[in-house]
Amino acid sequence: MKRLALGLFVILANLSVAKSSLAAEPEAPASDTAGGDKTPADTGPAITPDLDLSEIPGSTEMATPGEAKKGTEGVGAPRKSWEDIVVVPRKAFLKKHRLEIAPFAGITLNDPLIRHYSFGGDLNYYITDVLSVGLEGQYFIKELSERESLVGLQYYLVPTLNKLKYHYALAFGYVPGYGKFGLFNKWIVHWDLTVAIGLGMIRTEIIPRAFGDKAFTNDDIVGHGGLGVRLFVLDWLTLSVTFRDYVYQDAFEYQGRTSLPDPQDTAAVKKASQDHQSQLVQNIMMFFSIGLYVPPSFTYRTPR
Amino acid sequence: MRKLIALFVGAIVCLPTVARAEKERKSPLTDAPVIRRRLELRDKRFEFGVGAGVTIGQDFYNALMIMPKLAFHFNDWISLAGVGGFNVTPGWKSSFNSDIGGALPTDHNTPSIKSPYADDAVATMNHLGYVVVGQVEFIPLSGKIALLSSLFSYFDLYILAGGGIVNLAAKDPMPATCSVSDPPRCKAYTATELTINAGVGAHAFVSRWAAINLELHDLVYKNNASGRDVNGDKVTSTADLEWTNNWVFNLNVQFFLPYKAKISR
Repeated sequence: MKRLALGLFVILANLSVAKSSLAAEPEAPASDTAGGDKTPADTGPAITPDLDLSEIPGSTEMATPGEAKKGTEGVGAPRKSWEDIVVVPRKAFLKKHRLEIAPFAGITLNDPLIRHYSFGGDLNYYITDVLSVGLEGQYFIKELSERESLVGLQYYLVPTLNKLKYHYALAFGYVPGYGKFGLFNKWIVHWDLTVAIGLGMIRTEIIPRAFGDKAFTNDDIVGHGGLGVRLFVLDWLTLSVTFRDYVYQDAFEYQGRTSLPDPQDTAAVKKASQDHQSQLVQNIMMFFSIGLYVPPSFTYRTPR
Repeated sequence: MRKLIALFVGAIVCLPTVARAEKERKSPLTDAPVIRRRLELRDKRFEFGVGAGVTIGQDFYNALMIMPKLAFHFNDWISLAGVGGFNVTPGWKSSFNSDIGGALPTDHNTPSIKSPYADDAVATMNHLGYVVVGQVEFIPLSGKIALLSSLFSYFDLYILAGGGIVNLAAKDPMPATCSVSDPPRCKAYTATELTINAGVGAHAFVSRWAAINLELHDLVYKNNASGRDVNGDKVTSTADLEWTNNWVFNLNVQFFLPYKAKISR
């Protein structure tokens, strides 16, 4: 009987301790009058140096009088637990010593007569978290615009155009900016700003003005500069939008082709074109790319 | 037997309590907003400023515009804005315009069978006079960025949509060589008409009361930029009008009132 009584006593004691623990657990969000508007800055536990309040200097002076009052009343009342916890997310994505494989699709933006769609990829190795070196390659598909078709109808002219064939380059990248934004204040998305320069080769081909005339190709040295935004989706996946400006000297079909001794001699036409019909070309393009990273994961080397 | 009874009683009493405790034990961050003490840089503030805009990809005339902007932010996510654009470079030819002008005959004494003379062709090309649009701005993204790990700025990104009017002008809408028939063979399309306005924008705050504002507008309206036959009936009329996309990029310096911004919990 004694053992039974002892057993029941222990159980009841345990029960009472459990209820006491539950009472100390955070309550459901209390009303403002319960003094639940304390912040880590004014009532919370010791603030770690990680909490960068310098980003909101003079924050107390910015608060409305009502808010200030709320912050001081109800001392000792239960607090909203999330306000006592300092959360400083780490940099979400590390790139150092990782390889980025980035297939992309692009489109030219600045030529009203001919548009090119591009498909290709970037292969970048990150020497540091902000510096990369890589290769870029793309293949182009042309599309003549409606304006091009109207040139003949409206002006009785045939435009002199070149189409792009393919391009490859060595590129260097740098990340000057790193940021994060709140999406509807529900999710935090990390992103960075990228700039790149490169040097490579582009192959172009003339579109003969007269049907049946032979075309020739040009291999031009091309330099480019780029600016892009990259969103970090997973540890191994990013999405990017990039603008690049390609600059090169290109030879267009010689306007006096019919006056050459042999208009079908492409070598002679090319020579005449290079001598008389060569001009600096700027191709501004926009790209969408998906970045796949190898190795697919990374480890932080510094403590939180 | 007594032990069994004690165990049974204990189980009955304790198990619901343990289950309840498990149920009520949730993450303390469950109800936390993702960003605390966030600067609400737009909430119930007026925004005003002025900047410069430039057209992108126009066929014949580019335009550099003075672009004032006035907005009111109902909260941190939604605002209503009015934007104006006044072309200060009506004679800024595109390279395509120059190519056309350079390829066409210039001497009116030299007979031209079909090609128009260069000055006539250029005369009927229209350009933007001014633009006045209203727009609702929806701002789902806001955050901060570190540039070169030393410069910090708050920013936001938004999409905009609305409508307005666009004025199209030309220097010499109908040169003499165009009026040989009725309807004329060529005539610049000059009008003030409705336009759809859609685009994206961003603020980069340099302080709590000033920001650099970038916007990319797509103004969608009917136009015949060349002032010449489009549909092949050899005359120029409203039947030659087509919906066109006209891109305008503007960069403004914007100021916010009240001077101080709120801070969220």
